[in-house]
Amino acid sequence: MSKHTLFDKVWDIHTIKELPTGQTQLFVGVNYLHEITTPQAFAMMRERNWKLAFPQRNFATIDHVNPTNERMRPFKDTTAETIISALEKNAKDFGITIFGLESENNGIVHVIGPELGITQPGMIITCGDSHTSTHGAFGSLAFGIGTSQIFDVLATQCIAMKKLKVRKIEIYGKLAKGVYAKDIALATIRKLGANGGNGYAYEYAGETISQMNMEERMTLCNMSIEGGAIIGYVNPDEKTFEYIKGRKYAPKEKKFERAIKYWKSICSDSNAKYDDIVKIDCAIIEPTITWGTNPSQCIGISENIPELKKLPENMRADAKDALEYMGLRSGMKMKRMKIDVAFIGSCTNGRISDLREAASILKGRKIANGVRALAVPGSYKIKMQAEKEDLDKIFISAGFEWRDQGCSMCLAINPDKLKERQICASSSNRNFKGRQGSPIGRTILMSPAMVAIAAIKGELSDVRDFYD
Amino acid sequence: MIEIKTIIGTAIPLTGDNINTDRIMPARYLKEITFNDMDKYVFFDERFDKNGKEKKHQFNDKKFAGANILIVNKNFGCGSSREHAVQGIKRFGINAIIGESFSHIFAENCTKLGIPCVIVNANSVAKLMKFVQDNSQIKVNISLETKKISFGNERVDFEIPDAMRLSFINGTWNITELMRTNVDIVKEKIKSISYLNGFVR
Repeated sequence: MSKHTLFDKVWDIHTIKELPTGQTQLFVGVNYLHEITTPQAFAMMRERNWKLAFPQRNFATIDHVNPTNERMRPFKDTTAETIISALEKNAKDFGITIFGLESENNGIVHVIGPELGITQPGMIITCGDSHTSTHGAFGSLAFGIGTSQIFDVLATQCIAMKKLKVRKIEIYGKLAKGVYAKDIALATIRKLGANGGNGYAYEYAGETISQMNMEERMTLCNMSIEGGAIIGYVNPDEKTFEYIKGRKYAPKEKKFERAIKYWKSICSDSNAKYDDIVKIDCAIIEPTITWGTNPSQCIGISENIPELKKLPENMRADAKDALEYMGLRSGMKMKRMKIDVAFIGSCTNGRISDLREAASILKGRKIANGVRALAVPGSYKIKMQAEKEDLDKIFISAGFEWRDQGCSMCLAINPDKLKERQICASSSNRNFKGRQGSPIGRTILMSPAMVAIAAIKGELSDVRDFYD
Repeated sequence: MIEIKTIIGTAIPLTGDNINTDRIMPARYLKEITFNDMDKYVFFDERFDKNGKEKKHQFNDKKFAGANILIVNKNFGCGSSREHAVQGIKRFGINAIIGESFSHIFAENCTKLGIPCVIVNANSVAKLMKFVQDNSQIKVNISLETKKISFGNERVDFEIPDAMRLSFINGTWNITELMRTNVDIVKEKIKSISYLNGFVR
């Protein structure tokens, strides 16, 4: 009996050759492209007059710089217009399928890949974007790469990589009402540290993962990179197959039956060997919020911000700096802290289940005076689905702005930005300094439900109180 | 191919753990379609206030002008995969980084651009940082051949995966062309990848 992990198996299937750098040349099953990290890679291809090795294994979308409240081209922001046009032209010239802003398949790259059935188990998937780990939810090895590596993939459909260790994260226990995959992700990063996953791929396993739907698994895998792991994956199961079935790029009929055989074959063996195993009891996880400037700096909503002197010595300087930036004090509570902006969206939490969860809280309620709130679907299809369910009406009557799809205020390089020192309750993935478009703006990460309740109250609140 | 055996030069000490690529290269500069001006934007929001006035920052400090080595602490370059961060550092003049640890993608981006990221322990980083603070004009020597960093009368060992170290020395670190010459192997090998062959294999 073999005792291999999914990581080992998928790695071996895609191995082309060992390289003198100690890296392995791996075939890339799918490479996703977006407008921000690709123009220089295409320029390098043009300089050499090279063609793509396997254009049909590449898919492009526009998601980062596009406004989410207007569609009229050319956009007022000429740099945004230029970089969008560049990808449109590159896709055309190099023969790549692009889901442009006018396409019904457009959306955030990590949302539409799965939505279209392009992302499938047992693939190696790359994209010039660190949240590519999202696609691991389907049992693929998916990771972010830099622009010069994108050039490698365009030129060869291969990537050079050093083998990672594999850490199994066993998640067990029943989630309390009001606690979500986002909270598990934050609690895991808190436990293992912002760089705890460096050099590892994470395999999420355990009963809680089996019970999770695909959208929850995507949220969890998405955040792997925030703990330093470039890859996070879940072994594919019936839920995975059911999700893929019937999607645009999914194998059909007999082919689908055969595909399931392959997908099952790449799952980790029951006696697989891991480099490390960590267990997480999620029954004790609370709705979780960040207090600092990296996602590991987080607490349950009922907890106090840690006392600096109680933190391990090597974490104090970073924590002190973060608290100064955030305008917070160690030992204080976060609950009841005023917010200025509420943002629901992003590749972490911009899917239909996220919008439904937030809408269930917002229904019949209004957001607090002075709060600016944005709901930004992760894709056009999600937007259409939400509107079919009248979720847009709920968001709008609560006082939210109902926007078009895109990355929007997660990294704020479109017009959706914080101003000055505004505090944003955000369903996104990074609370870095200046992340949301103001160099001194402040981000507090949480689940979409927690953002919704914060928007209503105008201050950080415990969503569990809402359910009582 | 360019052989990288030793990096000699003055160094900038940049303290702090978890310095992410959003800090190194604010996202708004990712809207540019070339890397040409990335040196101007490196650490922009930490180096300049909103009126463009210089703030206190090691990259602004005249005392470290002309340095080509950067010394950092733990988990440097975490977060976004943006190569713009490395392009900014490189175009600013840095061609090697000494640190306690580097985020995976950041280190990969550095390798692609021929910037060795070498790892030393926390004590040695502290010692090095103090040394260059006190002796900003004295050169630091990173020898990939001896795996040692020399500064003043001190010598410390560093870590770097051995195969990678040798490829820097032999000038085989940029593997694009090599991977491209393997195209026939690729074509043969992918005949056995199930999903590329209708799942019949």
